[in-house]
Amino acid sequence: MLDAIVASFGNIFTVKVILMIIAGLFGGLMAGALPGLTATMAVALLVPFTFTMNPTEGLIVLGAIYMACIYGGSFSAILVNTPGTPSSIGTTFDGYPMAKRGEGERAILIATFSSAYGGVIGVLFLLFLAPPLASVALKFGPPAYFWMAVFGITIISSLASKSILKGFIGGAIGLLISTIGIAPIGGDVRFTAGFPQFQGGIELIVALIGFFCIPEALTMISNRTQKFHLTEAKHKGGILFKTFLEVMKRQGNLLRSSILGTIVGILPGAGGSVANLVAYNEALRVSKTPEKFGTGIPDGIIATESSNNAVVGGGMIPLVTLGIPGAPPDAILYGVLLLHGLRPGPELFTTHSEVVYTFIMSLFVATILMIPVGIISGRLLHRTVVRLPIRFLAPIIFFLTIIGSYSIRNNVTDIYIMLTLGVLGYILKRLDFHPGPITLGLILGPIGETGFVQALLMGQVLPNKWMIFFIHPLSWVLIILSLLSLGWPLLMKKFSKRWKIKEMTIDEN
Amino acid sequence: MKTDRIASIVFIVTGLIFWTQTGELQYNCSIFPRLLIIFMVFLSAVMLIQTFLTAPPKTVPFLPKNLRYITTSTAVAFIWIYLLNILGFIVSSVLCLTALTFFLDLQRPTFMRTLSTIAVYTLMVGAFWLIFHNFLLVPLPTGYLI
Repeated sequence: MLDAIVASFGNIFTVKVILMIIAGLFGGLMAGALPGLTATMAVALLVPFTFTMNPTEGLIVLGAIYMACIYGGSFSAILVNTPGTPSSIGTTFDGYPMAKRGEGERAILIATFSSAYGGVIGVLFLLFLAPPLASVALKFGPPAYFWMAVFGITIISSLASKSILKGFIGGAIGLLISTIGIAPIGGDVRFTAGFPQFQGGIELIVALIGFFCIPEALTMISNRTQKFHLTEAKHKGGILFKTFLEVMKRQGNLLRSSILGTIVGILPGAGGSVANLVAYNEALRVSKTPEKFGTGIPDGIIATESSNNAVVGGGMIPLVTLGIPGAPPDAILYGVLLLHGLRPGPELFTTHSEVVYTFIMSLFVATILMIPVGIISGRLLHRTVVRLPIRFLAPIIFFLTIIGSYSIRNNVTDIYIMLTLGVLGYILKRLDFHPGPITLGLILGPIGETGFVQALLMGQVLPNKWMIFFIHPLSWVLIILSLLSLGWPLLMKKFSKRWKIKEMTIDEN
Repeated sequence: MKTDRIASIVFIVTGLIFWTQTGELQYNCSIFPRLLIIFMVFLSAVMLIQTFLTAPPKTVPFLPKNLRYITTSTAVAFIWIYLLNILGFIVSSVLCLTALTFFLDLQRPTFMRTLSTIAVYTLMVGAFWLIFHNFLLVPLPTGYLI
């Protein structure tokens, strides 16, 4: 292993490869920052450009694009309250309020350092702990997947701090929308109202763009007299170093979120969209000041950004060890490996160890190079958005949403769906329904339904088929986690009220 | 409070409409949506009851500022989508982007401002077209024009 790692450095540290990594990072950042262009799409679109390269170079470029794309999603999340990729949904919660306060540059720097940290942790896990972690992922059966979706849904109680009831109704709406189209098991067509266009279901990215971008553009329009969307703060000297220290001081949050991201990444089907919200929820739960989450604090951005980039390394663990892609972009990489005659699986580490270790080490280098590339691009984008008047910014957001929702399936109907969901999202926002729980429902719906129905089918052999959900120890772990996640915010609310009363009586005395 | 009441009724009715659609589905295809509908209707009913039991909190008015601008911009966006397959991506986008910009402008447009706005949007849309169409090979909507 050590020999292969040393040999990999020789392959990476050449001018050509470094330039290729930087080009991949820029491309990934731009794709990630554009709502609608996901990491999967960016990696898939750029696969043909790697045909002329050798397998190692091709994988290096695609790895850099993947890593940067996940991080690039934070730019639009922070600057226009629109996650560039589903992995940055949670970044909108604290990143955007910071940008609104005139701290957009600081928020981007926090996202940059956290993403790099998470990326490095994910790669380290991939490098040293791949085989044992991959075997844990295999223990996840349909009941565990169902309970994982339930655990994901309970995060709503933290996300919707204003009204938990409205949060759960929003989650139910998202879950119900996710059932539109052909059923994953059984194949019946559901809730299409006779429109064949709905048979393929509501595309997650289309819904995401609609629920996040359009309400934001419409809010901008309602504030058109303000001229500018964000306030521009004076550039503070030394902000780079200060922010770096500020982020590095929060080792607990960084490490916890990165490990969570890696674990979620290992589970096939989950990915960054789930990881960032799980990490946000955990950061909020252990925080001494949970009430500050959502108002624009660094901890929220650190949790989401470190976890989603850790998913990159985590998702590759089952890919390279078992041949099972952990996240959708890994499925593309699976194809690329096959294309170059490399079969993902246990023998990959023995038969093509140099290619594999070069790829893993290149991810490490790409993560480090992401810091300067991200700082330059982030500052540029921040200045552009801050100085762009609303009369230009709002129409440009409409333009980007049209491209983003069309390019997924090359279908104009998707744009109509996006805009309709956007208007619905705006109305729901006015009624205090946050888009976060709705999109969480959309993400977890297919995972939950497949797990639920498959588990019920498995349960046919038991005297009571519903018992299948309770017989595995892993299910119980997830049930307990769900109960904790559900009850924690309520308990905290109760206790904080008591503590406040106690403090007040002490003060009065 | 009144808006919450209306919203909860709308959710209950939506849930019931969805329920009626599950009648002819196989068990494996209907069980999950049915559970979700029960969950949503139950929560909406709780919200509805809450609106009668608790004192109304201070909330922002439901209708936003500049409602006329919001509805007109949304209508322009729908027209934009409709025009994509008729005028083509570049022409419809430049047209609608310019229209929206002047609609949202706080000042009266002058000839030079109009010209420069159209030029900037043509360049921007053209650049996106080139990148998507020629570089990434992602098809964009096409119409009778470009």
